Amino acid sequence: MNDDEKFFFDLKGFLVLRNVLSDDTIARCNEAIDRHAETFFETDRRLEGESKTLGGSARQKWMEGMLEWERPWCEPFRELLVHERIAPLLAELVGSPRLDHGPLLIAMDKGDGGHALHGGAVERQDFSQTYDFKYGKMSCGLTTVEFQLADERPGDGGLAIVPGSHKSHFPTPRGVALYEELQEHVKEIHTEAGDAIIFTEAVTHGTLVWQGGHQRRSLIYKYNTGSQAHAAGYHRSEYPEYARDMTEKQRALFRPTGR
Amino acid sequence: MTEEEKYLFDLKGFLVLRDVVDADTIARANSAIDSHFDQIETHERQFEGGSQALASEVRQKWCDEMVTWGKPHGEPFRELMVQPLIKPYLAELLGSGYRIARQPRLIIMDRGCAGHYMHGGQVDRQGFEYTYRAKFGHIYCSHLLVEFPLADEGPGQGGLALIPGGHKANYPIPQSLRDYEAYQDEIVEVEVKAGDAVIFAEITIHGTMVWNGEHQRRTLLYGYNPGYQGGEEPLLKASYPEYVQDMTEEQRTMLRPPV
Repeated sequence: MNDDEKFFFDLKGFLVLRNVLSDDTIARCNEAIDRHAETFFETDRRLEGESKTLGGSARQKWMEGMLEWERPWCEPFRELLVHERIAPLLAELVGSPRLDHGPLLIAMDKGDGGHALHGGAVERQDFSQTYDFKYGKMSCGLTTVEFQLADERPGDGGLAIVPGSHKSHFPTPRGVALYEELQEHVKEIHTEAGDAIIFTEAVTHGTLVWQGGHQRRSLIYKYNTGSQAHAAGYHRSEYPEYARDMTEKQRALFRPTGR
Repeated sequence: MTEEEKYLFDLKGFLVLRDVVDADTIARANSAIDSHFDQIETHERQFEGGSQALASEVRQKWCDEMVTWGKPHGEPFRELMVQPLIKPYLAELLGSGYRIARQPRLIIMDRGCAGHYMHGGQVDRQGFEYTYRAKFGHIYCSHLLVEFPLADEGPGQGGLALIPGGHKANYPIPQSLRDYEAYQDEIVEVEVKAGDAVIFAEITIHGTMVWNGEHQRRTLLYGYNPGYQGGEEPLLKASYPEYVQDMTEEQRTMLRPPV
């Protein structure tokens, strides 16, 4: 991570990286997704919250489980776990990273609803999601890498970020979170297929209603430090034998990390 | 946790709580230790580092196995994991869903036993796994320690020593202070009786003075973490689904549990 990248990540809470994925990787991802189109699902959550501007005519389509697919379909998604352009950035921002959760594919067709803006330094205070800077070094908790599998051009909608909000000392105004006021402070991120965005979960971010004529496809990997887990993870956990005859409250202290 | 206690913990990095553990629990814990004493080994590590002031030929004895002792000998140590008077402090400082960071530790020191150099501080402990911050009126800790002395300590007998405010120290610990060879006036030798408890963050600069008491020092050290952080030692056995075993080592490393 060069000095310019450090400056701008600290300043804004995100970086846009151009031409990270090869055309071949994009094509293999998209073909694998097409082959598994029956696994698209719609989340039960109202991602737009109470927003009058982020609700759409339909909901986003999500897809998970790509790491479990049979070969060759899983392969491009596994390769992206450790990407040569991304790994140095993660090393700088989170140290020895582990995948906290993902990959998650978000697909949006024209008119699909957005996601209320969330994050912010006040709202993301605990170490698992925070942004910190000390002794000349950045430290992030949950850190998102979003690989674009389709273009997101000006006016298309999609990923939106409030630059600098990872260091905000005041709560996010409701009008900003709902994208109903102060919209000029919310930056729509313009990218092409193959680009990647890396951002701290502490920066306020969300998704604008998709206006593009083509399907939006964003592939999200969320990393954390080696010691932290925001989500349950990919492993199964087994209590040690001696914990089996503990009381429930005692055993609860041995609970797996994450939520 | 009262507002005064929050003020003092933020100010100094530790709290001494009186009469937390009843005499029966102390007696049962000591009796269990007596019954297992031949299994408790002398620790090989020279905890005094290069310090002349903390050095001795007499070594500390450590044991981390008490909660595995079963009934009845393991019971007092298991009960202390969820000590009712301590729980509100854990919830306040770590958040709900806190978990145990490692198996509880017993430290035994006989007269003349070597101490442990002073360690902690913001410079030594920069990662989220051992840190402290107060932000927007909330305290956030990771690796919070609760020390339950099973024997009286002090005055002048040695044992646990802390530097008030050391959890917020932004400059490296002077080597002479680390070695307890200068600035001794800055170090507080904590005076406690069996049944008291000391709560401190691992990042609070702390160490152990040479034990000068006629009686054997016995103290229990319980480490806790927020629910999203792994511990020093994985207490749970992790296993992976088959599709993870099929990944490259580099990919699989990304899916490891937090430690």
